[in-house]
Amino acid sequence: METHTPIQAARSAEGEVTLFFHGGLDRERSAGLWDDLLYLLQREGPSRVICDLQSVERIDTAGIALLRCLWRRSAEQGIELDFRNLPEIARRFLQQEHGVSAGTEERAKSGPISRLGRWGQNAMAPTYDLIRFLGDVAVAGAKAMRRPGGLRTGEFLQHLQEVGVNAVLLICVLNAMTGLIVVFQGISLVSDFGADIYVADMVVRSVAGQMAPVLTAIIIAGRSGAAFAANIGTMKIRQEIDILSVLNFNIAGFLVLPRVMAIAVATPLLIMLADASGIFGGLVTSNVVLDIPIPSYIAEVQSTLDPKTIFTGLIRGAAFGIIIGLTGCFQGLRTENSADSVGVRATRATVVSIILVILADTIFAVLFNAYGW
Amino acid sequence: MSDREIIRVEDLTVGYGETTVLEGVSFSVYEGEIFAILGSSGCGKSTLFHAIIGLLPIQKGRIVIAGEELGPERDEEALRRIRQEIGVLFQSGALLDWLSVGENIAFPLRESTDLPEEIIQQMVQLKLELVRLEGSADKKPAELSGGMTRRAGLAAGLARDPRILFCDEPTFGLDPNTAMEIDELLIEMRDYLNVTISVVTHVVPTLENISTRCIMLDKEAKGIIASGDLESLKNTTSDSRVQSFFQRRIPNRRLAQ
Repeated sequence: METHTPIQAARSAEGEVTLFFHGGLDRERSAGLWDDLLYLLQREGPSRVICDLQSVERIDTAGIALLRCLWRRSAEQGIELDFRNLPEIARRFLQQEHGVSAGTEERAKSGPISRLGRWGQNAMAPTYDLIRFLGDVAVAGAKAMRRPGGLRTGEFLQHLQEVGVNAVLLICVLNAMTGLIVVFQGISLVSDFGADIYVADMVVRSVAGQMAPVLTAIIIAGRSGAAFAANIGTMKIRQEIDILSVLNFNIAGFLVLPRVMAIAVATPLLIMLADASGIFGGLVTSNVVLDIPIPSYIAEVQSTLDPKTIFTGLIRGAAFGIIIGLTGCFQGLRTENSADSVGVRATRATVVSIILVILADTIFAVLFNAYGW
Repeated sequence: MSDREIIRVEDLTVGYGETTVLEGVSFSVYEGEIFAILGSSGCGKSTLFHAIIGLLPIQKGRIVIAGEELGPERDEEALRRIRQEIGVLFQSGALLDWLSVGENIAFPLRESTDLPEEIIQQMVQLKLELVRLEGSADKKPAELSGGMTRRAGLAAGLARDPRILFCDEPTFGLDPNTAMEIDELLIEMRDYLNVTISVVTHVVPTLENISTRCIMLDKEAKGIIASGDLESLKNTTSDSRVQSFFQRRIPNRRLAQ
């Protein structure tokens, strides 16, 4: 008889090994015991193994799990396995070993075509949801236009304040700093030619023409788009959306439309403010750093600033606002009932909004260029 | 039930900030019993529960769990050793939302043991069989019904084969049949896994089904107003507060004119 504590192995017949377990078969010892068992099976190469648990003092689920793993490994290697003197709790679960595969057996394999179909269905589900959502909002918008009295003015104004008024300071400061940056970046370009005054042109064309609208939209996406998603997402988790539906409120008209309209109104106005702030930032910087007289700067801005720039900025602003509003609300309505879902959806609202805004800006740039705007 | 103490609470005072919820509470729990802490809403059941499992600081007194002591001076090392020996079933089921049911059970085993993954997966399967949730390993908590969530939470609470299982309102909010299933499971856990169970509840049928001994807390008294086995609490006490709890009778009720 060989000694190998805490398992003692005894060869009882040709190809047959009896394993005597001692002490505890529990969480603390199972890791080491498993290694020992695998080693023994490999070394002895038996055709039959008997596990005797007479001397086992205590057993927990880790020990039972170890015995079940041994059962499986033995079956895989074609080794006959028997147990003797099993504790009651172990007997119950090892008798179920043949039935336990019902819990862990592989699901019936489906063919590649049906797997592809299922993948396609799952992949398209968000698209169907989006189309349905856009349709609901369009219908709600059409109803609101036919019957303006039905629009929830209080909610609209509340969101307008939150999206627009409360963002004014942030937009002004950030875009003024953008104007400052453009002047500093432009100094090296224009001062070599003694054409310092053209920094005003650079500020108008780059800040007012492009950077201010996009930067403003990005700020609104992070600030308001995420807030819409979080707010509506939390309502979804708390079943407030369900309550509204049961009370026959149209969710698109009740929750989404006021938000989208508010952000569509606020964004162009904020962009105009951003343009002015950027130009102002450039003005101060030009005057302080380059000693450009304020009247000269203003005159140069007036000669460069094209009404089309303002007009296209308003169009882009409204479009950006609608994109951000719809994205935020859509993500909020897709929130799942889990702790991290609100955060995930708010983040996604911001990221997707920014991507769509830049995509839209690209399209606008091409279109406006084609029309000579 | 043995006569070995596994939990001893001595002169415990706990509360929140300036507010004392419980004062001078003392009791013991013995190995193998299902010990119930009951009382009306706001009496301090959950406060006591959180103090025992180390989630609420002790203001005065001490708690001894499996030989480890907790007192007003927070001993992180003792708390860590205690938490190795206990499992908890919170009222909400308290599963990690982003993990599947199976992963919720496997997670503590991977973090706190050296067990190989093969054995961990078998232990997960065993726990699911114990709570009759075979086939639910891949489901996310959001996909489970209320009763299934409690059973999954029970399986997760028992993941590391604790010596003591603490349950906070295990059957609250469940329909009678599902609640009875949970009661049965708790008794089976005690019998199969030799785990001592401490239950906080105000659900009388659960008390009747599973408790071996209990204490009743009272908000006004800020402590224990009755203790013993359930039958003696129900039938022999003359304390009107205890009577009204079990019989749902308004103390000193005046008959309608």
